[in-house]
Amino acid sequence: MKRNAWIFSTVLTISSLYLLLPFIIAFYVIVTQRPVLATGEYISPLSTAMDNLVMVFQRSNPWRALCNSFLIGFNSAAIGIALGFPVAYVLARYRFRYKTFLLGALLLLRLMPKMPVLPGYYHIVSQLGLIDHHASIVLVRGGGILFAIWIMKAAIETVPRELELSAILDGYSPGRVMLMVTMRLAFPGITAAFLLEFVSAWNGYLLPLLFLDNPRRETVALGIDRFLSSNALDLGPTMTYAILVSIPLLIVIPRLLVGALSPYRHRLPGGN
Amino acid sequence: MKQTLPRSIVPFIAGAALLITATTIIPTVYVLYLGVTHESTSIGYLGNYRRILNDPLFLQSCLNSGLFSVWYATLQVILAFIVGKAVLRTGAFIRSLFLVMLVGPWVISEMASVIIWRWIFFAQVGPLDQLSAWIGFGRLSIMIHPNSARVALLIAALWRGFAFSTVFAIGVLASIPRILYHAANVEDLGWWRTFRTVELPEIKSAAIMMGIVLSIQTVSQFTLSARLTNGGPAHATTLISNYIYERLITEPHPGLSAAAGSIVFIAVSCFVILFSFLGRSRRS
Repeated sequence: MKRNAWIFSTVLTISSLYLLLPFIIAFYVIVTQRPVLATGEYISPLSTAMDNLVMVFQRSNPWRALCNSFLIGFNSAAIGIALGFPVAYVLARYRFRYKTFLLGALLLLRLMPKMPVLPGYYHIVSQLGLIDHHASIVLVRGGGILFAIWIMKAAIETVPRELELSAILDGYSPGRVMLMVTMRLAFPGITAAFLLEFVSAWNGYLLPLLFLDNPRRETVALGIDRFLSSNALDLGPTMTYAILVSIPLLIVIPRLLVGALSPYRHRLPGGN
Repeated sequence: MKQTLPRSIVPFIAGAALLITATTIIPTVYVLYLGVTHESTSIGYLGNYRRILNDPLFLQSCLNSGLFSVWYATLQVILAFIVGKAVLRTGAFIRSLFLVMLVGPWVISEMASVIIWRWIFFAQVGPLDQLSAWIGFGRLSIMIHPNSARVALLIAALWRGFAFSTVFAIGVLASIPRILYHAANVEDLGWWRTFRTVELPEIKSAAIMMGIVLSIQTVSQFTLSARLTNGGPAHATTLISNYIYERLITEPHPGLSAAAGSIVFIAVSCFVILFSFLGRSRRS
């Protein structure tokens, strides 16, 4: 038993190192690699990091990239939730013919990668005149609706059916039951679906690369790529830019995700 | 009695049905149409397909993608279940801490991970080369050789996908009834026999499903191969997604790109349908 515990501790230590070491190396680069054009002498790691930060703001506009990514992420996730929740509700609560077929079709569509269809998206977006518009990315992503439906369906199935029945007895319409009872009780699952789509849309690289030309519309991933292209030899500022635009999600998402998933924590052994 | 589609639920699903049709079904049909019409009418309707299938780079990128998918999915599943098992054996505090750590690589932008891993693998002065030289292996220059560049791509991709697969594995392992472990304990089975007789039968179908999903999703892997290894050296890490993108934007030959996309789409569809039928027949 003790031997097993030792093995598991080793596995956890190695995997923690694998997860954390790249971040440690990134922060080490930020505090040690001064910008190529930096003036003055080396004073301290903090001053090096500040020099890198100043260089990032002199050469680019990370706020704009963050705002653009936020807009795309938020709109994409909001559309996915708004249109996906009613479908998830129907699939979780109603019985009708072809339901199994519908579930299978949704799963197959979810599994299909979007990459092979890229030329089709590009032509349609060009013909609609949506190149250089954030709407093109939001539309092509389709709000990540197929993924959101599955997560929300699982969340709705955990809501006791009796509560909905009592609301119906009180005279609620099906739509009102869905919005006032089910949606409230399945909120953690909805939050998780929202966050997963938000992060995915925020970090997307291929679609912004394909559809956005104007630097004013660049997203976080495109901003990093452009900064890398113009400052390839200046490692300190490039790494600073990459970490700087990642910080908002690194701080916010783990907290929100843990909060959203905490109602399901009891399913793990030892969970409270 | 079940109805075909009750009228009352039509308003619930109409919006989503429109969105899915507009963003998934129409573009898919359109790419199949582009493949046989765009640029190809002068050389016959299947001209684009003939040109694509005679292009050695297309075949190589298909092979690269296939190998990458198989290696990625296999290693990710194995790692996820090993780490998942270790996580479940720890206390609540360490487990929470580890789960927060897991989220990091998934949350940061893929381009940010490209910057970090590019530096780690950087020839001569990168941390990996410095470490290997310090140990006495000499400088590895991992991105310069085709096979080691593939390994580099795999390491970075596994790091990015670690969170999703490990969380899934933890969920599967946590759902194994505790009583089975107690029974194995009473029988005094060692860890290997406990794994073989208790855990493996419980996780097998989920692990296979996870492997299939991961390998299908890997077809869309673009950023790491395009920006970490730039598809090189000697096209060793050019994946099918990079090939489609190059034909669409860089060259550009939209008809060829659509034909390549159609071939991949049909291949993946066959793979998905085959596995869903196999899964159904096994269940029945």
